[in-house]
Amino acid sequence: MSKLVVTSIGPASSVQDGGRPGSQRYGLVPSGAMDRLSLAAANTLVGNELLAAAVEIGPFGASFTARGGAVRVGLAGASRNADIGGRPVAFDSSATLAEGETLNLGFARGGSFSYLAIEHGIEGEPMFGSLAVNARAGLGSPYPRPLQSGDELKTQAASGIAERRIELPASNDAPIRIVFGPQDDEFADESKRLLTDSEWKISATSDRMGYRLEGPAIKHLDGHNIVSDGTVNGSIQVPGNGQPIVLMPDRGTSGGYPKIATVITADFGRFAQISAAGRSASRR
Amino acid sequence: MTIAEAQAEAIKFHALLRSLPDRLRGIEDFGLNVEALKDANVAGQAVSAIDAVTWQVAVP
Amino acid sequence: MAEPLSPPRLLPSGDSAITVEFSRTIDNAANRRVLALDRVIAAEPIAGVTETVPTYRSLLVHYDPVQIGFDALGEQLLARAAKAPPTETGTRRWRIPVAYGGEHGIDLEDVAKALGTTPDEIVARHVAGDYRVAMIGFTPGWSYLSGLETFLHMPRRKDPRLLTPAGTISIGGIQTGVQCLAGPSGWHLLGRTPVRTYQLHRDPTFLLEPGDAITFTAVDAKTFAEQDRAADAGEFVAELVRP
Repeated sequence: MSKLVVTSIGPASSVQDGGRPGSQRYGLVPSGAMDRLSLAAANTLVGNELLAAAVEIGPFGASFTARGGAVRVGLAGASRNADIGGRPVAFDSSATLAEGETLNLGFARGGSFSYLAIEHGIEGEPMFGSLAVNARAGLGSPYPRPLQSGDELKTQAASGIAERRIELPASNDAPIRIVFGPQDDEFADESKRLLTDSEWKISATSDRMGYRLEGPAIKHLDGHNIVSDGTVNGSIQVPGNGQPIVLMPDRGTSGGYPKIATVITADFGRFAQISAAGRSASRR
Repeated sequence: MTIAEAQAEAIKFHALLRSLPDRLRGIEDFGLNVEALKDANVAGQAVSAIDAVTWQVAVP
Repeated sequence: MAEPLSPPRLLPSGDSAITVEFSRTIDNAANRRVLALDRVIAAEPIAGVTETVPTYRSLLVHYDPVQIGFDALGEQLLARAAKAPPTETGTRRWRIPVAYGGEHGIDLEDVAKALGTTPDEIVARHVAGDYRVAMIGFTPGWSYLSGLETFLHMPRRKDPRLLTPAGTISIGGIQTGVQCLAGPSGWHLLGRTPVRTYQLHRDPTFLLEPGDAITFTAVDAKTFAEQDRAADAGEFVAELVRP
């Protein structure tokens, strides 16, 4: 049995996969990867199912050591300086750690989250069909919480097959696209234009539940309390202070602020990768 | 954008996900990215990130 | 014959979900229609619909845009919403034990004061209520109940508490609720139940369904402690009065 031992890791790092949809009617949010395309790319590199569980690594550095045998990994998402025992490793490619070797990852560049997939997957006990961490609900496996130094990710020995890289579409920083609704009628047209025509900054207090946008205040026509209704990934809700909050995979399943618009599925991962202090413009 | 346009983009996105296995390449013809890797120590700005205070959602 | 039902509004929630809105306010009739549409979809599934989430006034329908589009799905939803709601045979009814007041319900005395009465009367009125699970949301198992009598309606706290105990029974606005996990809340805390509406590794993991009928029964602190231990071991503790 091989395993990857977490030798150092920053906050906002956890095991994530495609999530656990199907129980939102009971208040259980699906969770899952912030950037599914990058998760799928990392998994593809090592021959896993597209949305298998992998390590979602937050903006800070991390290192992992192979124990009990060699471990093959795939790296995708926000790129970082990376090396295995001093030997440089590229992102969007696979690499193998020999027993005892350490993979060192620097800070995220040009994004917030990187994905480290492990060939043969991470061993764990699926809960509602998923290993994804949802700390509030006590869910996630092998650990129902963000990763910490010393944690062990069990897997099977590396296959030893040739390493691969993956060609992904060029990244772009075009405005994030949205669809208005479901409660855009709670806002005047000029407020809606404010959303699409302004530059928004991601607040440093953003997390896997929501990204808070900082910019001009968006006014409601008729107060900011609505009767709670269902949310989706990318719901843009506007609380009383007029600063929109974009709901992320660990969101509450229902929310009581008007939702002016929704980030489109195709742009959600790209939006999730925008780092705090990075700029995000949205458009219709 | 309109719902129809967004749905078309979503369909393209799902197709991109499914196409990933076809986008694998051997590592031999690779080299450019290693250079890019050395380019630097541009530390990314961080999403400070863990603690979910309660601003995100309306509290019951 | 029944009057024709007014059609709900179809609101886009991005490219993969539709909010089917029956009302903009908390309205029992609208909530019944939400739950009725939810049941009809369960009985007559629509290809491409991946998940439905009932709330007070709307049904959120998640779908896969690869399989079905907004317009086609909207038509099917309207057709199903126009059907007479299926009669509610077999609504489940639960009796849920609550330890009111003291350390279990730290707001009981303040609520009584604010409403110009005694804690005992607040408890008597809350226990006398016949409630129904209007929706479950926010966090796992947080069950919002309709049917709170007007006398007990109270605005939410100005400053929500960041941490309230697991099992809290509270009132807020025109609602009462059963909270499962510890967490933030702006409601007034009347008591605690040992019942876990959400518990991993128990079958079923989620005890209550939207639409279930609920009554409360007052228990003393000693009974609460005993039932809390039993619930921890996986017992329901809630009494299923009518399956």
